[in-house]
Amino acid sequence: MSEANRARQARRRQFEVFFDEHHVGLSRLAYLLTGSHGVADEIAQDACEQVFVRWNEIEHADRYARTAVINGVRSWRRRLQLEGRTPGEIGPHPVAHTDVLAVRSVLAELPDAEREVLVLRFWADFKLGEIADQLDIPLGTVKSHVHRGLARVEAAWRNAEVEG
Amino acid sequence: MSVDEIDPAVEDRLRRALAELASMHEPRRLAAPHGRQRRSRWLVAAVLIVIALGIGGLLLAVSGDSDGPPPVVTDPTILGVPDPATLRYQERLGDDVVAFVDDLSLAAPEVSEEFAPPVPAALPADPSQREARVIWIDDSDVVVRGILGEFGVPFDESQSTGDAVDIGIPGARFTDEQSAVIVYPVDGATRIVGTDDAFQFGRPDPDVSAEQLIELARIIGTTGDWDAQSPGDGVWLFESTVETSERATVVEQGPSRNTTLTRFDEPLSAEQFFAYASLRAEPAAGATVGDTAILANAEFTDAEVYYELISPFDVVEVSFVQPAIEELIEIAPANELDRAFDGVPSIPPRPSG
Repeated sequence: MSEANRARQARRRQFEVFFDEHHVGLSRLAYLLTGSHGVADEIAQDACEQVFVRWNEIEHADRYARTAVINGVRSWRRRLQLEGRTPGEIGPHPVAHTDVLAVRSVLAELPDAEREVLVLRFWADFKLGEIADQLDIPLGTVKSHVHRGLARVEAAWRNAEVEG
Repeated sequence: MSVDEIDPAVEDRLRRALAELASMHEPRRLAAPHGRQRRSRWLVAAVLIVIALGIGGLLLAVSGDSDGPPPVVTDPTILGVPDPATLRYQERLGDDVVAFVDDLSLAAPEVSEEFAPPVPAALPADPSQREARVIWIDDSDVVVRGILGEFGVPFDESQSTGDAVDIGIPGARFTDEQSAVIVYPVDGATRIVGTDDAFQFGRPDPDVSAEQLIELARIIGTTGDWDAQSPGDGVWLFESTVETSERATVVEQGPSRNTTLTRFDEPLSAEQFFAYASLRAEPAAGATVGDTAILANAEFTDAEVYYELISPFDVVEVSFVQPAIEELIEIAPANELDRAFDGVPSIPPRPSG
C-alpha cells in the first residue's frame, strides 16, 4: 500500500471517529436552530462533509463543524427569505412538557443571533466568551442576547401558565 | 437585570427544556453507501457504467494522447466513508441510487436508456482504475462524484481558471485528493463541472453552500448539446466567490465568452439594473432605462457585453471573447423576466464563432 493510500485510510478512520462522536450533537444543534428534523439532518450532514473535505486543513474540527452548522442554518433561513417562504408551522407535540413547547416557540421567533446564543449557552453549555469566539461577535453582544432571550423565554412561560 | 444577575433557577429551567427539546430529535444517521448500493445494484451499475464510460471517454478524448491516458490516481478509501455529501440527498429521494464503479471495463451494454444521461460516444482505451459515484437527485439531475485521476497539463494561467477545472477543456487538471462534482441534468440542456472547491466557498465560514452555488450556477446554465461537444469546444467552467454573506458571484468561463452572475442583497429595479450596466459598459444604441436586458459596447465588435436582469436579485453579464453573432443574442423584454424563475436558462446561445 502506498504512503498516500495509508494516509487516506488514516484520514478516513479519524473522520469516522469524529463523525461518531459529533454527528448527533451537530444534528441536534441544527434542530434547535431550525425546528425541523429533516433540515437539521441535512445541515449536519453537510457540515460533516465540509469537515471531511478539509480534514487535513482544519485545526479544530468540532468548532469548524459547529460553524458550518450555524452557517448552514443561516443560509437555509436566508434561502427561505429569498423565496418568500417561512419555516414550517410548529405543530403541537403530544408528550412535550409545557416548558419545552414554550421554548420551542420562542426559538422559532427569535432573531438568528439570539437563538444561536441561547442554544449555545444553555444547551451546549458554552461560556459567554466561547460563544463570542464561536460566533465572532463581541462579548457585550452575547450578554445582551442572553438577557433578551431569557426575558422572552420567561415571558413565554408566564403566558403558558396563564393560559394553562 | 443584567446578564450577570440571571436567576439560576431560570437558567436551569431553560437548560432542562432545551435538553428535552433536543432529545426529541433523533438524528438519522443516514445509511452508509453500502446499504443503498444493494438496493438497486443492477440498475445502478448499468447507469453508472454508462456515465463513467462517458466521463472516461471524454477524459481520453480531451487528453489527445495517443499513448493512452496519463496515470490515474484512485482513492479506494473513499468507498467506505460515510460521506454526507452523498447521503444528504437521501431524504428527497425515495429511491435514489448510489454506487461506485472501480473498473470502467465492467461496462454493461444493457443500460437503461431511459435513465442514461447523454454521454460522449468515445470510450477510453484503458478504462481501468477510475472511480465514480453517481447519485440520482431526482428525475432530471444526476450528480457524479469521484476521483477522476490526474491527467493533462495545467491550465494556461492566462485563462485564470484557478482551482476549478473542467474535464472538457484540454489541459484540465485533476490532481490527487481533488474530487470532482459534476452535475448532469439528464435532459442534456446544461451541465456544470467543477471541483468540490469550486462549489464550496466562504472558508472557513461557508456562507454559501455547495448546494446554493450549484443552484446559482444553474441559473446561468449554459445551453448546448453534449453530443455536439468535442475537445476544445468550450465546455464551461465555473468559478465562484462570496463577496459578502449575501452576495455571491458565479463566473463561467469558456473560450468564446465569460459569464458572470451577481446576486445582490436587495432586489434591483429595472432602473437600478440599467444604471449598474451603464457603469460597467456603454449601452448600445436603443438601450433605455427600464430595459431588463442590455447589449453594451456594441461599437467594439470584439468586446460585446450582454446584461440581463434574470431575477429581482440576479444580474447576468456575458462578455463575448469572440465577436458575438448579433442574431444569436436575444434581448428579453421585461415581461419575460419570469423565465428565470422557471429555471430556463436566459443566456443567449454561445456564438458558434
